[in-house]
Amino acid sequence: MSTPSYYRYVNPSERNPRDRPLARYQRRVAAGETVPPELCHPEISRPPTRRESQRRLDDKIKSYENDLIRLKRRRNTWSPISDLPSEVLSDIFLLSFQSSADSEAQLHRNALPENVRLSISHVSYAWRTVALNSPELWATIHIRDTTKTTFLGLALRNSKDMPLTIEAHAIRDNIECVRGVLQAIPRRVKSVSLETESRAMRSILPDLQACRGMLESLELKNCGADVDHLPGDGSILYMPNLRELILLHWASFANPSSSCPSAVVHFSVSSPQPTIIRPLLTYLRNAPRLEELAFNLDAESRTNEEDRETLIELPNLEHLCIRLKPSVLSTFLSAIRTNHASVLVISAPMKADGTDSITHAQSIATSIHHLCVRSQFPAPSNLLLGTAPPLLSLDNIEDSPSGISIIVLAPLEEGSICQVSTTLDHFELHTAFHPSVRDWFFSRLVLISIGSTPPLEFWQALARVPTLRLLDIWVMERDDCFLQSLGDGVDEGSAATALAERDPNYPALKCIRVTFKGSGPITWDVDYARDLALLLRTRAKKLSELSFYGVSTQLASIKQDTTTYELLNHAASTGIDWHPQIPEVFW
Amino acid sequence: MVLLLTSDNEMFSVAEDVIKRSAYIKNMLEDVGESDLPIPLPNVESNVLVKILEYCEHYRGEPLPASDVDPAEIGDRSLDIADWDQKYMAVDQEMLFEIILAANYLDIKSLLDVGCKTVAKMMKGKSSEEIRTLFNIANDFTPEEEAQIRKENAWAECR
Repeated sequence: MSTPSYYRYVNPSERNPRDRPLARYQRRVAAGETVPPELCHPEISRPPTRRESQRRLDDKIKSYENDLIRLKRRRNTWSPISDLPSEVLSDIFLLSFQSSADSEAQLHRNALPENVRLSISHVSYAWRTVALNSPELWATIHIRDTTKTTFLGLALRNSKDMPLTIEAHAIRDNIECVRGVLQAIPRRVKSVSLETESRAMRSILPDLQACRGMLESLELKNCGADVDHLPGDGSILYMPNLRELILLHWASFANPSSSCPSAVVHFSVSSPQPTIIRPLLTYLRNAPRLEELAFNLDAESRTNEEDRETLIELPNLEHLCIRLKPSVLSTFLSAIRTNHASVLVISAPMKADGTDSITHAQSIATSIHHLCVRSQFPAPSNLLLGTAPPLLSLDNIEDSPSGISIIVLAPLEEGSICQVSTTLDHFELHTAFHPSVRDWFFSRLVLISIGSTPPLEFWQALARVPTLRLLDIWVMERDDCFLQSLGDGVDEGSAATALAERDPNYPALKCIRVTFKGSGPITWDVDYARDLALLLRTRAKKLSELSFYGVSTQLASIKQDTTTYELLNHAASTGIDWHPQIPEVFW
Repeated sequence: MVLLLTSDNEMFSVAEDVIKRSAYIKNMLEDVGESDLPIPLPNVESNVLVKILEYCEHYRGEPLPASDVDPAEIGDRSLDIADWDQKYMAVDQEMLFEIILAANYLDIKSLLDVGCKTVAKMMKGKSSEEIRTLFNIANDFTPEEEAQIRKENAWAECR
């Protein structure tokens, strides 16, 4: 056959293309070569076809590839991290996932932390094996509007029989995905945090109800534009194993007329609508196991006499954390009684606008006093006056075995943050302590932190507190009432008597921390410190600590005045601390 | 004092209150009582034990965590690591994993927790490929596994 002119056959092996394997075989036999045994087999009486040859080569390639993978896996065992036992590696994976879930919650709500899980399980064969055999790594499911249902199947499979936590945030179009999970494993759902709008919430409630046997934690947040009533008849709040309940941004919720007592131990409610108060109080009447209650309401409300009809007993309540407008706070505090509360955090934002706010503050202090007396709380040992952090997390508050440890009673200008000086200059917080309740507030006092400028009468009462050991004060003027109270009754004539017997004022005081806080540069810091040291000189026992913060004068220049320096150092057993900076945390 | 014998036959004499941070040693001392015989640590080399003792010495006097509390069960699983612990863990990877192994073997829960957090922090925000590079791991998946991984990645993509 002649070669067409438009192409030229190129045979790299220079072998005749017609020299088929059969022809080659026949030539070899004819030449007297030994025939390979496989070709003599009756079934392979013919030479291998092209496809068979390729298959053989494919097998060989596959075998090499397997060898390569085996070698890589062996190589990986020499990586230092491969020495870790699988349970430690599994814990590292879990930490990695959880931390990404935490930061994701705050930053990128659309970026699923599930991707971390995938990255981990896609590193190597060994890591994948550990990851797929760590069901706890897959036991939290995050759902967003962008999540595909198929993706969730992976977590459902790999979590094996583990109880599941479902966290679905800002769900507007993907409620079916949430429903799919709830319906797939109703007996494994332990915790649900769902943020969606009212209509979608209504549609999902039956599916949540189906999880009632297992559900321990439930957070329902309304992310719709309107602050609606929580859909449903409220029976969802009375699930038999529900321990933690968080309701956010709802106007109200129903309480079923007949239901067993709520099993809830931790309850947190935040709402912008005062209509939440009534259902909340009703719920509290039926929540005897409650140990923690956080209630945040950003609205004013008139006192409702019906709410005061019967006291709500909360016999197991340990932590009460409330942030209410003053008008609501008194009502709320008047409605409850508890026996075990060890932490009471009360924050009452209000406008610092003169008489009204003073009246409110006094009413709050009186309500707290009544609540404590009614509930047989001991008086507080620590008091913080003059600053109000935003609603404190209960975790950040040190627990005290003996009664209430902390009261934050701090009216602040609405919207202001924890900047004391700007607010309290024109709001005299100390007026909250009406003399009728002041004695109770001071009766067990060990530590007080004051960021305002109380009048002499306040200081005089404080000076008589026999238990006060630590005084943390902001000093805003040269000759303040604290110095006056310290000097009361300690004139030259009686100093000797005081020394001989006991300290007349602040008898148990061990530590004074002074922070200078003025509108302009403070030029009188040394003068103030000297006056204080002079008054302390007459005390029977030295202080164990005397610290000054926010000073303008350098310590080196005080040292040049040896008389003053010695006087200051003499006031405390460890000498004075002298710091130009102001501590970030007031107390 | 407690005598410890490392895998490379180095003997260490350690104050009891220092090494009792190890629940393994603590239990052994309680079971065996006072003894002049060294406790063999066949899984710990001397250079690693030196590091472990540095940790125990630093936290000497601090309350021991309850033996039945597993850090993994404690709610706070953030990757926050105290300053001193961070500096302590600033070692090469080989030593880091040796410390974790030793902490696991000696049952020093707080150290094990810090070690795990350090590694988790190293991995944070990294892709599979970046993690491989970080820990010198080769991609050793079979083609079938690769196909499954591709499928999973496709599922993970947003709708």
